Amino acid sequence: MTDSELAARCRQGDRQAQRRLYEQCADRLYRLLFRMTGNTDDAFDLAQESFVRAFERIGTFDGSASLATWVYRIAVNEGLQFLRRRRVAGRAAPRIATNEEAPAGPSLEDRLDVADALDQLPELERTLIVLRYFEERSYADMAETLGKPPGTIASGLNRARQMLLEILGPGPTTRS
Amino acid sequence: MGCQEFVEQLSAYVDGELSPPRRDALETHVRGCAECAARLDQLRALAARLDAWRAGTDVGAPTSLWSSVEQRLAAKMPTVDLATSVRPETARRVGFRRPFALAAGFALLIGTAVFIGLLLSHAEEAHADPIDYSLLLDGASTDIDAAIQRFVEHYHSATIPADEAHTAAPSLRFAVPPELPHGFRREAVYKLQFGETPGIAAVYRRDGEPLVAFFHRPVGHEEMGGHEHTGRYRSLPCVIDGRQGHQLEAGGWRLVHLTDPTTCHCVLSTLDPKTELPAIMRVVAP
Repeated sequence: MTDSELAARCRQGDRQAQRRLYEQCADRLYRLLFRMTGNTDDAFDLAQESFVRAFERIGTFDGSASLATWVYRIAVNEGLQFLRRRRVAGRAAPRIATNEEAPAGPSLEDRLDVADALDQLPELERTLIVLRYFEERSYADMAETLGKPPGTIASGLNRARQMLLEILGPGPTTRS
Repeated sequence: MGCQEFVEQLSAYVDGELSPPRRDALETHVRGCAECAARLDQLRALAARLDAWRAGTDVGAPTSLWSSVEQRLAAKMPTVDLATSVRPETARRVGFRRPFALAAGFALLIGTAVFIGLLLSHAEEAHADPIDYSLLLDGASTDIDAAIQRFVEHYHSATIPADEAHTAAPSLRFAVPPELPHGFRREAVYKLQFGETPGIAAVYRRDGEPLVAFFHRPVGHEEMGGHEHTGRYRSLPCVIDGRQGHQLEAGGWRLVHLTDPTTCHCVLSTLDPKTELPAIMRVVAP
């Protein structure tokens, strides 16, 4: 089934088709929102909201990107809006990645340091770091997803990295 | 090109986003500039650290996510099973031979849908049954864990995974993260039943001391939120982060609640409502 056919069936309310699109996107979308927000509850709510919005707006899918990418972009913007609302509300982000939540990896302390540092970034910079490092999106793709010029993406990532280095410290280098 | 301009390109260089001529020029510069070389090393070390963090956040969607999406869709959009829907030629034959019967049937369907919609909306507007928090507050000062157990058992509790809490009570707005400020760690999440409406309770603990967050549909518009009380508790208004709430005190324990249009958020704890509780309420009552 092509993306256009799948989109058409979803638009008609075909639950099997909707489930099929959901299964194509769910893991990647949830993981993105978990990394953007820092906690599972917010990621769950935003993932749910993203899918509902996608199905409501599926009539606007024009085939210029894949259907999965189209849904993913909705989720990125839902996450970005959430981070803005959280900042305006003055709320601290709940901690991410305790041993209970995350699979084996770096120490809990190190995860919390990185998580804390990410929490301190403004929402655009945090989103850029998530998209670049964790989702491996190109600058062009990020520019299209966020509706910003590529130059803004480059300078935003530069700024985000500077902030993270200031928060985390430069760390060891290989040169004397 | 000055050093500062090369420094600004280091980020894009690490990302592989520089054009070949710019990349070559930067690499030539870095070979001869200790400062830029050191900066490049820092960016690579940062990348390694973020990569390591990434490994710890490789999570998949919870199994309950689809059912929660489906519930929202069912409320907004009717389901269509294209495998069993009426074939076009059959519909045309019915439409051609019995136009009035078809119109009447359609009107009946619409009328029925409106009637059911009105019933459902009335049910939606109905508030939850009053909740007897004396089950919790009586005995809180002598054995708080027994009081919590008594309360959750009285309201037909079932222990559920935390990531199913929103599915269990989809109309409520709340959060039950693994950790809360001030060192509280989540111990258990329960689905409760208050009459016809579901609620959620999440038990946290810090050094053996519990903190319980309850979420349920608002039970009324009285100042007390409809919670039953017998006058044995000190009842006070309170303000948390500019939001008007109410608290009951019993033997060092406080039951503080904040109500919004969809959810009554109640927290039972020994925390100071002015200095310690706001951070908790900000998390559990978004």
